Amino acid sequence: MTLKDRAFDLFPWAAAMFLIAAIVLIVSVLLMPAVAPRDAYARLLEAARNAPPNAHGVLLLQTAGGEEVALPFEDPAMAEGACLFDLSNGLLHLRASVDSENDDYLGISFHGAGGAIFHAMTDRSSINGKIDIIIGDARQIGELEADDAEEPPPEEIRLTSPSQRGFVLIRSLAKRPSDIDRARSSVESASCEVIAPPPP
Amino acid sequence: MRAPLIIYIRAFAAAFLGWALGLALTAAALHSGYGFGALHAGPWTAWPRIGGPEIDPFARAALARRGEAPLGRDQGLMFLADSDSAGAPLDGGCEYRVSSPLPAARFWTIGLASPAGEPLVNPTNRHYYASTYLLRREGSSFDIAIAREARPGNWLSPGDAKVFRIVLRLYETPLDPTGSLDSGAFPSIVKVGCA
Repeated sequence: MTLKDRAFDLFPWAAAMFLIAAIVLIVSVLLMPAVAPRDAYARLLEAARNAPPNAHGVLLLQTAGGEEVALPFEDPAMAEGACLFDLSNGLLHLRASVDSENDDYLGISFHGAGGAIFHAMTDRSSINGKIDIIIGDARQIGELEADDAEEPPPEEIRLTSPSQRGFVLIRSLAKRPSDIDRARSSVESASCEVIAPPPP
Repeated sequence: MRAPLIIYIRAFAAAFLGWALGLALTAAALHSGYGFGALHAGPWTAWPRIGGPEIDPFARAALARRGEAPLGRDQGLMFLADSDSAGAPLDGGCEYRVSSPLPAARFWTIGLASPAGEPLVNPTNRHYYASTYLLRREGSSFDIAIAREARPGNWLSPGDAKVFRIVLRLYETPLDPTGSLDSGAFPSIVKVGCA
């Protein structure tokens, strides 16, 4: 058997190997958001077990200082808070106020459990210094909209979450390190409230 | 007719090697970076698509795997640098100088992080500089020294870390993420010397 014959003989097996490799790559990348054990949601859940959320339902996060941080690649210049939601318990109502006098940056982003964003905004898109948002799944938002058919238009923004579980991140910039307390109080002034569905 | 044993061995080897290669490729793809659509400017790299609805499956998987929550595209852009402007990897034992200019943004911050994105423990307990928190020269240009030992002026310390990343965040920047970036508008990272 010459070398050429041998190569021809092995070619289908090599092709099969690369095909299997490609399938494994695609399947594992697509499955990763569903199976990753330490995704952002799991990390925040763990942080909430160690230090429970405040009375308004906001979990305050550590971003710098050498202590264990909840999420990687967060800006040490930010005071941060998170609200975890599981829409099977009801809608999430998020309220925050914006201090427009000092031109402070406030960013609010809405993430699925895997960390991907489905909506994001900053203080610049607040209405009269207020941010008022209700998050639900497609069915819950549909029911809300059916309810207010004849009422005046609602004041809050309604967001449809692509997944049942996820979280909201509230980031407030400390323009200098001495401003961190003011940034924290801005995060703490936000509130996350679960609106439980009425009993059937 | 029974197939010769060699066929079974080859089939098994192809399946096993294919599986192992697929997992190795997945690990490599999710190890660093965030899928496709990276923007480069000198030593800086950003992935603007991770903050929006056009995020690709590789970026989704990378975020979930590493437990990250990105900035929304309208909120800002995060740039990472793993090497200096000459292309040499950043070394905790060396001193660097990060110098203006910076692209337009409402605010910006510059900080250091470990390769996995954790803050670095350092003796000064200072973790960032920002457009609102920085010593500037006349004409508002600036530079930031990155060194273990104290330096006059703006100084960030990587502490005892051997390798680190420089993280630049531009909040509410008008940068166009679909075009290519002008690396002259981004800060340079110059190695001053090594201990």
